[in-house]
Amino acid sequence: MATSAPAPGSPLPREIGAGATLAFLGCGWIALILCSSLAAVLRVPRVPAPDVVMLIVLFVGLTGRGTAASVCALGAALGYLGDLFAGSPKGLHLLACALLALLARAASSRLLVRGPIATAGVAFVTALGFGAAVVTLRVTALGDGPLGDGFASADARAVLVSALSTAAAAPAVFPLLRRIERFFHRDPRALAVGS
Amino acid sequence: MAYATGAMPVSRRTRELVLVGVLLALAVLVFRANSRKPAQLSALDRVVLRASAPIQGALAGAVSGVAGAFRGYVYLVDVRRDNARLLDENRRLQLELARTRLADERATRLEELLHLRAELPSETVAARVIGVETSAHFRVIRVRLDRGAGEVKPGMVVLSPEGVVGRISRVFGGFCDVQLAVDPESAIDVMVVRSGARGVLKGKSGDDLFRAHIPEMVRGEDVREGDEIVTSGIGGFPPELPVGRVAKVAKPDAGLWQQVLVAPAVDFARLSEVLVLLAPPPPPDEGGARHGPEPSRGLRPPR
Repeated sequence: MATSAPAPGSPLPREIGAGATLAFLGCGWIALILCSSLAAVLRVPRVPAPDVVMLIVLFVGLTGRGTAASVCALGAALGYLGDLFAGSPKGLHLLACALLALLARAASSRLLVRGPIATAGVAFVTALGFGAAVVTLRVTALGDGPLGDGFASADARAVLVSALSTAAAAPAVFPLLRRIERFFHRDPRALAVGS
Repeated sequence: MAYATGAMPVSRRTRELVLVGVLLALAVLVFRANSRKPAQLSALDRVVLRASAPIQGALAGAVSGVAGAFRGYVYLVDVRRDNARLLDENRRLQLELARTRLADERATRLEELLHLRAELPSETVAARVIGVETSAHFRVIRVRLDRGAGEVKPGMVVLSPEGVVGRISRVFGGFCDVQLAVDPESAIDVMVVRSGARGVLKGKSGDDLFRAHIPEMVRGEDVREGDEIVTSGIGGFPPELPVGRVAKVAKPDAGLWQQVLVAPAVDFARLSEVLVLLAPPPPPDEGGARHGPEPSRGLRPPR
């Protein structure tokens, strides 16, 4: 049933909306440019940059907004941007982010993420899984890979450090994304992730 | 405005499932297609990359300038305290000194590049690093070419005064992505200077120390820690370019191969300028373009 305004007690608006979609894509693009350029200039010891694109996909999925197809498409678009900046074979992050978006959306009804610790915890676990998926897909694409002596531990370490970096950034990134979401969905009853 | 009303009609749910299936299938197809031809860029790729790269370049330049001036300022802060009377004068001098130092460092690097350029067999194009990879699982840098954008092609060799940097992986306008020699997808035919033992150098993924290794070197080959590794001249790289030094040799209890861990000659964390060798890239390896040349299995190159 479609109505022009929500009646008291009726379900919340569930669409993502074109404006929010573009805003999330823009955020991902700007974050990738910033991470790539700053890492090149500041030359700090190689601590992996937080995977901001993964955080955006996770956030969008956890809001529970949009149909599965629209969330999957937005995840794929963000993953596509990630591929252009990560140096990975094109399609790797696209596929991983599309899957993550679907999983996060499926988990959104069972998972309530509130406060910085819970946000960091969920981001850490997700980043671990996401990193493992990226490594697995990379091995699949190359046909060879991290199965030799010392490779598995190096990959595991990279996944772990990257997940820590992403988890540390999540409590700062989620509130920004929440602001964007609230800007486009002003319904005061709308559930927010990470608040 | 439409709102969800609980149970979704079956037809709508089916349509949703089909859409998700199609999207995922498309994603898989894109991934499969591009893993075979990684250098190809679509029109959309070019638009996004051409829009992003100038911003990256401007951002890198701005941050570099501010960071350089700030470093110079902090470095001499004690001197300024001791000379309070000359505070204003000192500040001006400090900034000038910082700028001069940066210019001097850059001139030295460029001078080294010029020396290297004179020694190389073919023409080169200088490029400046404006970005690095955003994933912990790949090793790629983005560079801005000084000139000759139309001449640079994927597969061309990239060098620095210290040695081998990698290969061009993508070209878009005056910008390129360079796959570093320490990227897990990189493969470079190399040899040990002391003994002539040969193998294929590959990057070690997920390692923050920028290391590479030769995973399959014949067990009987003579290789020791500290040995110098250079290019063999096969696969598009000019011969005898420094690649690195042997950091560790691992001999499993059984098997035909020994593994050689290599510390690269190039400090990839501090890379700021590189040279692109305008020699034609090696012909594509049908069906195995991403895997580089086959390992020599220990054959020694002609002397």
